[in-house]
This record gives sequence, structure tokens and C-alpha cells, in this order.
Amino acid sequence: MYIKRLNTDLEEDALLTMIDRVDAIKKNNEIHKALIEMKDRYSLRNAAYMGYNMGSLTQAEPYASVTYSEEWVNQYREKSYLDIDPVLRAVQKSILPIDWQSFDISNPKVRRFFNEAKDAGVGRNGISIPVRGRNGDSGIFSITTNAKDADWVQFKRQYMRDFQVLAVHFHQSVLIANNVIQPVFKLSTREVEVLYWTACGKTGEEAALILGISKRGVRFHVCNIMHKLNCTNVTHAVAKALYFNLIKPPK
Amino acid sequence: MIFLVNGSEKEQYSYYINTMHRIRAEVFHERLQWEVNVKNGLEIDRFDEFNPLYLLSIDEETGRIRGSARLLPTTGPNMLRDVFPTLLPDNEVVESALIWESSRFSMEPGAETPLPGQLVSQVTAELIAGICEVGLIAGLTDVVSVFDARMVRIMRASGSPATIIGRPHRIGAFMTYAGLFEVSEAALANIRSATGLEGSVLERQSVTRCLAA
Repeated sequence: MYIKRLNTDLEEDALLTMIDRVDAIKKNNEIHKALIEMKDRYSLRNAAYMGYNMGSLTQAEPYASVTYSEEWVNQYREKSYLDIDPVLRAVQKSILPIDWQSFDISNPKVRRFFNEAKDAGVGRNGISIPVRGRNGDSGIFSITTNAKDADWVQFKRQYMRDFQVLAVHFHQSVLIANNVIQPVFKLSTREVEVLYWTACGKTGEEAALILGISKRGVRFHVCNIMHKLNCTNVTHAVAKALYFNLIKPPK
Repeated sequence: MIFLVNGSEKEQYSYYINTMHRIRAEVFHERLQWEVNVKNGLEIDRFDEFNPLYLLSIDEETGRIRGSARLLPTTGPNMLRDVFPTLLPDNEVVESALIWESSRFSMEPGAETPLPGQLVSQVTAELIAGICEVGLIAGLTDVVSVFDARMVRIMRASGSPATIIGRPHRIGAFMTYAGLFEVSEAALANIRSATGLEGSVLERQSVTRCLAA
């Protein structure tokens, strides 16, 4: 199915839609929903996210949200695969994304693990992407497909960047949804100025005059601000910016 | 030839890694006189603790390390954000899944001298092409780096001109810049045609090892 989508320009939409979805996540149970939506949009077999070093959230065991079958999750638990899973070990050692095909399956343990995973419908091939966070937190983001080898090479080339980006967004949303970090909003100097004059009751045209930029420029900055602050309108953005001390209160 | 080593493998490859730290001390402490910490002749900073990916340029005839560069994701700790934030305008940060930071680009004395008829040395060419190749494996769009005017010229001569972002700053005796380098098949082709490199500079086994450590 995924083949049909190659060489079309749909993929950009899939990425932008998914970024919006993932960034809007507020509760932990929405992580799993977003993984499933991503799986469908990209015609994946499975998707999985694991988080490490996230304070009390991951004290006992890593955070995990996966679309794998119950059968595989149970098997993974029962056999303590967390300790031997070669993918997890490799991803924690490196910053490079890892194609599961690069594992040495001459090692019988590794071969058995991947065969069992395949039998449990994990997917024919997969890739795992390491995520590094700001505070020593880290994550592992994996996607699998049932693509044939030649198509898999093409798929990776086309979508590696999408999944690198989504990996970081999922990581960030897991941290925020579980209150490990507070959302951080950063506005540029110009955006702060535009929003400040808006908070003072100036119209877009007046703000443009004050700042010596065009009306279009003001509109452009306002759009960016609403996107950055995840707001639906300017009033919402002003309220949020004041609450988070991004702009000084109007005189 | 570029040999890849994960920071997490520094015990396993301690001879290579120590040689790299010694060359870094010679370059950044003795020659450029940057304010870096040198202990027992080795320059090591806190970013070496964050499991970076090292690119080591190895002389194929002697097997010796001649130069190195270090890559770190910009979503985690990195020099531009944590050491040189003044290079970027207020509240602007480079923090992207598709941009990694290159730092500590260095080579032993003499290794930067180009062969007659070349614009840059073999070691320089290998490191720059190697960074671009690794970036392609990871799906990056750019590599960001903090560097001085000397590096601006080297990068230009290597077919990989930097886009300066933010504003140049005088740090110590040097004008310092933050620059972006494109990662793409086209960028790699430019580097290859400017430097005369043919084919991949990455040592195959080390790539396989790093991809499935």
C-alpha cells in the first residue's frame, strides 16, 4: 500500500499533520493514539517509542508506548527481552539511526530474537532512531514496515527525515504529557514586540507603523506566534504569553 | 579513510581516542591557544561525556590517526547552545532533529597542508566528506558548527561553503562564527569534485559496527 504514496507529494502533509497532532498531546494516553495515527498515515506495520532517564517516570523501567500485538508485548515481558533486545542496546550506544538489517544474525540469540519478533508480526524490517534530550533524557523511536527489501531502501530514503523529526516531537510530548518538563515557549525579539503592541490594544496596522514593518510582516509574525504557542487566536496567544512571562504587561 | 567510533566505545578504542585527544591538545591549546582544559597532554571537554560520534581520519598506509571531528545532536547538550549562545540573536536556538553539531575539527601539524595542485589536504577533505556522508545516513538537512575565519576558507575550498547564521563575535583573539553546512547528495558531489575524492571515505566495518553496535 505504501508504494502508491511514493513519489507523490502527500508525504509533506503526513509529516505536518503528524507534527501538529503530536505537539497538541496533553495526556499520556494520547501518545498511543498518535502512534497509531502515524502508523496509518505512513502505512507502517508498527511504531514504538521508549523513554529513558526521565526522572521518576522511568525509575522502575523505561517508559514505553507501542503498537505491537499483545502477543509480542507479553512474550517480550515474560522472556525479559528488555535485557537482551539488541536494538535497545545499540541505540543507547550511538546517535546514528539503526536499520535492523545491520544486526549480525550469525549470533543465534540475535537471530532467534528477530525471528520471534517477525512471527509475532512486528514487521519485516525496521529502523530505530535515538533521541537525545536537553537534560540527559533519551528516547528510542522505532518504525517497522512489511516492505520488500528494495522498497524498504526507497522508503527509508524518502521518510528518514520525517521519522527523525517525529521521534523528537514524540519524545518532547511524552515529557510534557507526564509532567517531567513544562512546555517551553521561545519567541524571537520581533515576535515579542508584535505581541506586546497587540496586548496594548494596537491593531495590526498600528503595530506595523510602530515597528516600521509591513502589515503583512505583522500578520506573518502573528501566525508564527500562534503556532509556537499552540494557540487558536490572538487573544489566546496574548493571555498565554502574559502567563508565561514572554511579554511584559501592557501599560 | 574515516573510521567511526561512538563515544560509548572509548574504552574499546582507547588508543585511537587518546591520540585524538592529544592532537586536539596540540591544535587548540598549543597552536590556536584557545581556553581549553588539557590534562596529561589530552584535551577533553564535557561534551565528550555525552556520547558523541567521532570521525577519525586514519592514514591508510601507516594506520595512524591524523585528524578528527565530533558530532552531537542539537536536541541534546551541544556547544552552540551551551557555550556560544551569544553567536545567535536573542532567543534563537538551533535545536532540530535534522541538524547535528560538528566541533573540535582538527588535525595534526602538517596534515592540513594540501598536496601540490590540491586546494585542501587529504585529511581535511576526508573529514568534510565524512561529516556529509554520516549526515546522509542520519537523514540530516544540515550540520551546524562554531568556527573561525580559517575554517570559513577551508570549508569554501572544500566545496562546502558555510551559511553564516547569527552575528560574528570576537571571542579571545578570534572572530567566531556559527555556520550551517548543507547535507545532501548534491552537497556531497560538490565536496567530491572540489577535493578530488572518489567514492565513500567511510571505513565500511566501522559504519556497520556503529549502526549495530
